Amino acid sequence: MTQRHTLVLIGCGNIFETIAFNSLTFLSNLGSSDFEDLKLIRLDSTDVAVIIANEQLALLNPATTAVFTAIDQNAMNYARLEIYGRARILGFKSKTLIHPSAIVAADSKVGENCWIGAGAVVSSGVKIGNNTFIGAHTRLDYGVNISANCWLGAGSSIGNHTSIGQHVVIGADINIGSAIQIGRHCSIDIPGHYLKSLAEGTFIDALFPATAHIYTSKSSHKVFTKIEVGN
Amino acid sequence: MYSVLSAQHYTDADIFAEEQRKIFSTLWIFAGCANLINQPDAFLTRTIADVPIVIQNFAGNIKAFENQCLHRQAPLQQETYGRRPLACRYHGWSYDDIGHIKNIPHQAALYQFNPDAQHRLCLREFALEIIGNLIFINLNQNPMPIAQQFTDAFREQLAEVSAHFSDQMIHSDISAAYNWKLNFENVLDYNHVAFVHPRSFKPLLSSAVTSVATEVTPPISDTSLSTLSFATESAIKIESQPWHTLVERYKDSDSYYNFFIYPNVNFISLGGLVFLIQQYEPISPGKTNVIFSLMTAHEKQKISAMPAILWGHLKGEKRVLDEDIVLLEALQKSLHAGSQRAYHGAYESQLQRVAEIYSRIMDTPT
Repeated sequence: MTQRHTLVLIGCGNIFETIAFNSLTFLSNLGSSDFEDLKLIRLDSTDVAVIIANEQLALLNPATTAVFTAIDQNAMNYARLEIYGRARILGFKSKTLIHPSAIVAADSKVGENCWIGAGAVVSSGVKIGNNTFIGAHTRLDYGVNISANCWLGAGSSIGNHTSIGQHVVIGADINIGSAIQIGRHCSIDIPGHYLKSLAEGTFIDALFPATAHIYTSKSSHKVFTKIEVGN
Repeated sequence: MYSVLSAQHYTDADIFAEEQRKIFSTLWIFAGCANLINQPDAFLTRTIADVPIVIQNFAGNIKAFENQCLHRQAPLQQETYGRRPLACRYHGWSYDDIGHIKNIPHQAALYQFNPDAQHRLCLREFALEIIGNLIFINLNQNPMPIAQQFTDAFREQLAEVSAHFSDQMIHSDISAAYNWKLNFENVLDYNHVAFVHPRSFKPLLSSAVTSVATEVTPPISDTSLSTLSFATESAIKIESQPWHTLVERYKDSDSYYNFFIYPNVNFISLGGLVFLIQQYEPISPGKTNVIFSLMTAHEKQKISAMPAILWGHLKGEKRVLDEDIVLLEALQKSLHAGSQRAYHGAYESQLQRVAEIYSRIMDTPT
């Protein structure tokens, strides 16, 4: 007899509420009847999230529980990574959730604890790393590589064979061109078309008229090359 | 009492040009952080008094040169901070650590310089002093001793605090439509915080400043140049963050450290945990480039989320600056030839001193 499992949705913010509001739809869309129950752990904020998560997850059985961590982009997705990582350390499996209206190519590879929003199109050959959230109506063209712990805002698009490094935040309605590289720890939050590669630690934000950069003593402007995709 | 400075000191193009000669080409000017160019071939670029400057690490030897190729005047280095040999991207001329030509590709075939003429070609070099991790440049060919501008005690303080800099820094330029002096005066004017930053900055302060300090250090009667650069410390509320225990903090108290580095730097630290260097680069009488360089204290171990920490702090500091910019841009816009001079009260003794010493420097014949 197959053991029935619980899916725990933990987090806060827009994605959390979207999933919670449509929980029955998502449970059925997981593609099996393994999950009989959805449990919500709603965090008030990300400030003490890891403490609350620890307390709540300690009450659950990792053998019969899978966890999906849903926290919107906050601190370049480190807030979500902290909870997702904690759940994995505690032995919980992570699930990826795909909105029923999203189109995901059969040969694409999507990591764990990923979210693919409503109406998103994930083309053939796309790789998406763990803990990356793809917003509603986002378009990922052929061969795109998105690393772990990223956030792509609603309505964004990524051109063919473009690579995105870890912990990148791409805001809503941003179009990234083809065959370019966005280094890790970049944040692009001014809507528009971006056709040139960005070095790691580049910040394009309405708060700053000129681009902000992180420099290190080792060297300037490394562009990432590695893509990690979970099992 | 009325300031010795008139509105023209903030609006007049001739006075601005004079400042560029007598202040920014004569005094020691902060140029960047040494800890970010501690690797061979690492460099930083900066413009001081319209002169493009490259500060380059030649196998541990840090030198400052005019950032302009002797061939066709293209910049030798282009990024703010980076790492590559000192060589021009235009035609490949490269330079050694004394500014002489190291190599000219196709010299014999294309240029045919005689060896003596080529040897006489040399980049213009500038005096450079490094205090802790702070690099200062002096454009004058006979620079004043740096001790004349910064006291021994102040230099020791700067060395001690900057030794705590992390090797990661976030950097951005912010253009503002006001005279550079307004920003330096603004940071000296602690009384504005309650009015301009009631929600962003004032809540961090442990107590509002509502009385004049009884003891002014150095004494107001002292009008030597070195009195314009000094440090203060006041109590501040610091919300504990997990990463705070992972860095080598400067001192160990919840203090707001403030270093005023004349003529155009305000260097602050929140609790010895986060450091922000704000520099007010003069662009024109009514335009200033505010340069933000922010870093945490040196990490005891790798902190993966450091980019997010830096970005979060930078945004917070920018929001505070924006509150100043709104006010100072309006102030600048209101200045006109017939404006009355500023009228300073007792707590503004340091502003008076700045104005007096500035006037003395400007009145000095070149």
